[in-house]
Amino acid sequence: MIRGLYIANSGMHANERMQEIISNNIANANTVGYKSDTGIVRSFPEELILRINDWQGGVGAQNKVLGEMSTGTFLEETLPRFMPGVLQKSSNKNAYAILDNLPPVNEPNRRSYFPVLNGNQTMYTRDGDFKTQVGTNFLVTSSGDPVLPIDGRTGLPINDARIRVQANGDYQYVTAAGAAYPPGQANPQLGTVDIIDSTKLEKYGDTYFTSAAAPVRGTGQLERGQLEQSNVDLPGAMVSMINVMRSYEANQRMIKALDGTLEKAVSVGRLG
Amino acid sequence: MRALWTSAHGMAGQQLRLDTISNNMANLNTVGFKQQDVDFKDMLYAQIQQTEVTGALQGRQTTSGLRIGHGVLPVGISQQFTQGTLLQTKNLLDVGIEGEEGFFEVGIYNAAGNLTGYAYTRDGSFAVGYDRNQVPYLTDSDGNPVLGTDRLPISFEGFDVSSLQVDKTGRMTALRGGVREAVGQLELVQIEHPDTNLEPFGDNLYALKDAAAPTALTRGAYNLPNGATLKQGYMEQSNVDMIGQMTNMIMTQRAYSMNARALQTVDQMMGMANNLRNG
Repeated sequence: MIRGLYIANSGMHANERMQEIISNNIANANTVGYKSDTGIVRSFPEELILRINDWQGGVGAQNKVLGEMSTGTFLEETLPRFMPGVLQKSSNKNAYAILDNLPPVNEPNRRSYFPVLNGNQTMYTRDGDFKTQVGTNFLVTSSGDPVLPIDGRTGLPINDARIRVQANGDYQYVTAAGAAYPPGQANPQLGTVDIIDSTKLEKYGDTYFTSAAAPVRGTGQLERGQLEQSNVDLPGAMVSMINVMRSYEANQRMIKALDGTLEKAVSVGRLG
Repeated sequence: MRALWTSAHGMAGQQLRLDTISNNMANLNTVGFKQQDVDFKDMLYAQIQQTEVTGALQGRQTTSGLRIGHGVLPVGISQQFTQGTLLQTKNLLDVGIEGEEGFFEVGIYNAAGNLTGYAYTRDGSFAVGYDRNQVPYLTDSDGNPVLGTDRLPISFEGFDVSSLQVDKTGRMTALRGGVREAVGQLELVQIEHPDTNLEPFGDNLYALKDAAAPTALTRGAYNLPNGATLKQGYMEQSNVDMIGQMTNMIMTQRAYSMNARALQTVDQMMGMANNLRNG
């Protein structure tokens, strides 16, 4: 019986986490390049229930094992959904949207991203709402981090190169210090890189992802003057929210019921 | 509960966007106005550590740890310096700029009559003002003197303003004693990437950011290839896209009420938790 209390508690806790994820999705319904998260709930591992004393003699006496049961639930993971968002026209001349190629059958989560440099770390983003940095005219994301050009020969991002937007709008590829990029070293260009298994990306914030795995040559196509909107499904979020709240309520009722039963047990032993 | 703040951030963000949209709509008929929009990013994620067992159960797709977001963060308000429609007014003192990166230079004077700084504007609905010596000179619609290529106010002393002519490079001529003479030349500067190098400070004026590169501003824009030119008798209308703003408003309003709904749900959930031990 006490076990039931903790099981219902774990249910409330998982639903609370679920609601946090849904709230975050709803808050980012208008964030360019945002990918909605799905909470995955899993039951606790099954436990084997054994008889302690009365397994010798009586009905079903041969069975020491009663069976298996799980003692609750927890929110196991937040899985970003990588389906593309709606493309919307932008009056920003340096706005880009990525059009993914159909991924190969054995790599269903292969998607393309822009490489950006946040601090010293290369991160990946789908938000192509780029600006020019004041002073240097480097192409940066809307939170001010430089967009990395990719090496035309290897298809990988070049960390020490920057994209400079010239007065006429053309791109020039320079070093981080602003000097001309040495010719013949690489063939820098604005482009995308691919992450083979996008589910292994970790969200960082600022619509950036970090990846433990190295990227490979990008296959996505750039669409200039368009922006990929958030892929949050608002009606779906509404339904999950109702679902979460009712499930939370059911768990709460469960605790109340158990509490009532416990009270009965307490009053049995009470001296009149 | 984290979700309460997540939704509150969401509401605050959408509110800011609604404010921006309202400002755009209010300036639908403001000469030389450029529309703005809010850029959003998601906030940092809390990484909740998981044990070696729960972080690597079979069938799991993501890497170990639970990443839960905290809502949305408006990272900036971007300006869109697209060309507004040039409307013919036939007013001699209206000068429109053709070319997205051209700006007039305006001197900002304090009450004592000293120059305190320079500002830039696309608003070419000029007027004639008088200084304390009753000398007429060219001003913007707010009374600030518009500067010539010598970075000084353009004086109309002795000229007949009703005969003013402005060519596409800003050279102004007018009749003085029945003879057409040069008044001065309007300065037209070209500011590259005006969306990031300029900041608005009201009255249709923009200031060049301190951090802007020295090469960001070029004098005599009409000398540049594809540089901006002037058109007398025209006024540049606001570039606010009414239909786009309406669509954004609907989207923002819906997102706002969804956030409010989420907030309400969280509140209800907290109420249930509070009622756990209630007989």
